[in-house]
Amino acid sequence: MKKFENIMEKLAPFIMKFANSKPVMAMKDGLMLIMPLTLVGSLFLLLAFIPIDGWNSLMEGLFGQAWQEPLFQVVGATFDIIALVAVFGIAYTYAKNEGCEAVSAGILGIVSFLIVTASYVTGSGNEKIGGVIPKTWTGGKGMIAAILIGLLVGYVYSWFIKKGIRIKMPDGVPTGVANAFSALIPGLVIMIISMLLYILFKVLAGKTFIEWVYEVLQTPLQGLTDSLGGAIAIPFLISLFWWFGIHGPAVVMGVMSPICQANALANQEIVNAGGKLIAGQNAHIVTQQFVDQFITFGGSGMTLGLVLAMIFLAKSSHLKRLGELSIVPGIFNINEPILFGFSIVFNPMMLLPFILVPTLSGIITYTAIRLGFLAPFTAVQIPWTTPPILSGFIVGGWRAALLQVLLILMAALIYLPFLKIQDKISLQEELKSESAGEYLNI
Amino acid sequence: MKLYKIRVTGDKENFNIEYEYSINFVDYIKIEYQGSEQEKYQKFLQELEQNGGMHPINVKVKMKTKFVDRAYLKNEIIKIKDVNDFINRL
Repeated sequence: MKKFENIMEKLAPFIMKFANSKPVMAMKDGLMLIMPLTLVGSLFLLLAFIPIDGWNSLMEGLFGQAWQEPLFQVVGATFDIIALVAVFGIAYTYAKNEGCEAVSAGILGIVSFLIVTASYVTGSGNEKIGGVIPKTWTGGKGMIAAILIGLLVGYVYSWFIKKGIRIKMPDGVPTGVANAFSALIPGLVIMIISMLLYILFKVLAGKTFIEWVYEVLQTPLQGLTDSLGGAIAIPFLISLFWWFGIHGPAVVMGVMSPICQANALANQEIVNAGGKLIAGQNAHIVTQQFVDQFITFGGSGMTLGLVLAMIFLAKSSHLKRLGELSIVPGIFNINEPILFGFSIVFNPMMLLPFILVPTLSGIITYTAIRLGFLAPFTAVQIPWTTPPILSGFIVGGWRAALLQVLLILMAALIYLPFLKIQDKISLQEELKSESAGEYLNI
Repeated sequence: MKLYKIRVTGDKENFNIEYEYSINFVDYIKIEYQGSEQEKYQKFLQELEQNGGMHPINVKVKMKTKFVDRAYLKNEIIKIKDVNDFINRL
């Protein structure tokens, strides 16, 4: 155990350096801008595909065959532009964190993204239809390219501004005008670089930069995260980092979230085209819902099972009361009182269940989807604070809700022996300190 | 025995630390220290030494250049005497 702690202590500065690096910070905060789009867009998507027999026929009867069209207008204006919003958000955040005027950087991010994207679509007769922004590449398929472009634009723009290579306007010129002129030189350079990238990839690879990134980087990354290894690595790392005092979800999902989002959107594309999602063939398994609703629900380490066990089975008043106080936050997937009050963080005894429970949950959920018990998730997403069972039902119907119930029971069973040891210690401490009156006043 | 939570905002040069404690694991009460950040930090270390238990200290990091929340053991924080060193460790 000591050896393991020493290794983690040596690794911690590197993990923190990576997690707090400028690109990761810009990525994490910049991608927050897409959250309202995906959550609100999900409501309309859910309405279009309510999993109730006869729903489609009912709506067709009421509103005609094209009843889903207005809903898809909203879906198309939210999910299908998340890469554009992401590139703005990342370039904006990078520049803001560097202390530069950031809106111009965000706009230049969008401009750069569009320069390296095809400005035509191919019609059914193979003819090119110009004057369009193809939504194929501005949604999930353009996510990794959006991250790369956003970071590059943010960096180049900030470099020029910080080095003072910009048109400076005299004092007295309104700030808005001065900022617009400041952006001219970095803007010109960014557009030239983007154009050269477009030419380079068109000539050498015969495709646009966005298409190349999708094929060479995004698809393999999606495949990697989508494997059983990905389903195990994500919960394992989240819990391991938290146990060692580093906010695991912030570090792990800061990097993994765009890929999980892209996986869900790829699934949705299949559904929109009238296809059926089949795990192992055309569907991705590890999506944002997989993480939020099946390996971190109840909080990191899935401690909701532990909280229930504390309420019903703990003998010490300390743990029983802590369980009662933690149940409401736990239902909303917040487990800070348990992480710090039980405590789990840095507690050698709790390391094993804290890692084992979510990792097993990842394996079980992955297998449930792979074997067809659970349908792969589409783009329908809900806030991570949505209580379990309800969240499962919304993203995956009654089977997902049932699976969540089983996973909570599994968590309670695995945590139970460790709870009993802690309960025994707490009970002894209570007896000792009862007369001294120095125990935590809960 | 109290449970402590620290909130750090600002940036490396110009930061602000708020100190809170809880006696029931859920509701936190702000500790009002006076003085510079170093003075406030030193007072917190004294408080921690006197009343802190085995529970880790919850550090909420919302800085311009750092954002990952941390947890530290009491003994680890007590060893860090300079507030700037503490900020650098986050």
